[in-house]
Amino acid sequence: MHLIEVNNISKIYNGKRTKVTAIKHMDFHIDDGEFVGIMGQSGSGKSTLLSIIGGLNKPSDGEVLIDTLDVYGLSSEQRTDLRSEYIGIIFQSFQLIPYLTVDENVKLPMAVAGIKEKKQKEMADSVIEKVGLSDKKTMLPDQLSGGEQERVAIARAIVNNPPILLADEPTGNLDSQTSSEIMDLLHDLNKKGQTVIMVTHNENMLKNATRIIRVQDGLCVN
Amino acid sequence: MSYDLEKYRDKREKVLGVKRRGLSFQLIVGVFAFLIIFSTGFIFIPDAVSHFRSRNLDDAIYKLEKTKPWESRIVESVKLERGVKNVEISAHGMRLTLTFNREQYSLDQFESIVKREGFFPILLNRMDHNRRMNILDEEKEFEAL
Repeated sequence: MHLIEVNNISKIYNGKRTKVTAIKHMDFHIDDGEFVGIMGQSGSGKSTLLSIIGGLNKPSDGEVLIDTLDVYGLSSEQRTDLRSEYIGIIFQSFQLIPYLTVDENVKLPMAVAGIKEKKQKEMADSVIEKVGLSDKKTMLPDQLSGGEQERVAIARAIVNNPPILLADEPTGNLDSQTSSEIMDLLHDLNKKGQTVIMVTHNENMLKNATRIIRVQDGLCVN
Repeated sequence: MSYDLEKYRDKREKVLGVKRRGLSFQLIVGVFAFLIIFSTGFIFIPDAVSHFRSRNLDDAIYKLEKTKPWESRIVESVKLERGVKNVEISAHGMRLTLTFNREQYSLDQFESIVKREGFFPILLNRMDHNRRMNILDEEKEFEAL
């Protein structure tokens, strides 16, 4: 038994004239506390794979188990709860709300989960401090650098303390120095117990990963 | 590596909607509400039942013309009438209080019985039975001061 089990999944996108197979019969597992990199060229299916693991994209075939729960066998409400309880997602384009401050962006998932305001403040303050942005809580996203915006995205992803952190090219838009800082932050979170699954096409970013899954044309090649 | 199924049990149960261990807030509120209703019920329910039972009762207070005392044979014959709940004569025998169900009995019926016995009754007052009982209770409290 493992924290994440991906059992023989396939994903086929049906267009009007064409049929694209993004994932072909993938089969692997990820243990609690691992730092796993998913590598591959653009269009290889790695982001599709990440969205399937994150409960956002139903596979055409196969199953994904998280903590023994069949992600796509659950009702949509249960799957929403599963995402809220188990998964934090960091996007390459940050996906911050431009008219909310750093503090408000971080509190957003907690507000959706119905956590009381006092608790929201405590938890938001704690993670904002963890990502080193305590002095920029009241700023809007466009007043921050790319690296700082990425830190806000990380703070928002980890504020509910999910055991699994999915990162889709988190350093894709950052310079090498800032990328290195973000990677250090992700490794710190991993050392504190969070399972990190990171998609990238830059192998340098994965030198400290516990495992690398290489994806090519929708297949795991090793 | 063996997987620790207990580590995320709370999260798993939350997702599956399994009832959580321990007492929920709703259960505690429910138990307190039940205890309050149950304990205060002993105080309020008998009053409510009594009020419900006596809601159609009226009291009529009579005296006799020429200030004669009431005779017990009149009292006994009125007590047998359907709808008459109680007949009381005051300590000095001059006032008669008739408690009756206004839907089953009328004062005309009472007065005709009294007249048949050769007396002429004079109605002094008529009011709701519960209201009169409240007035008597208040008077008792006032006298006790």
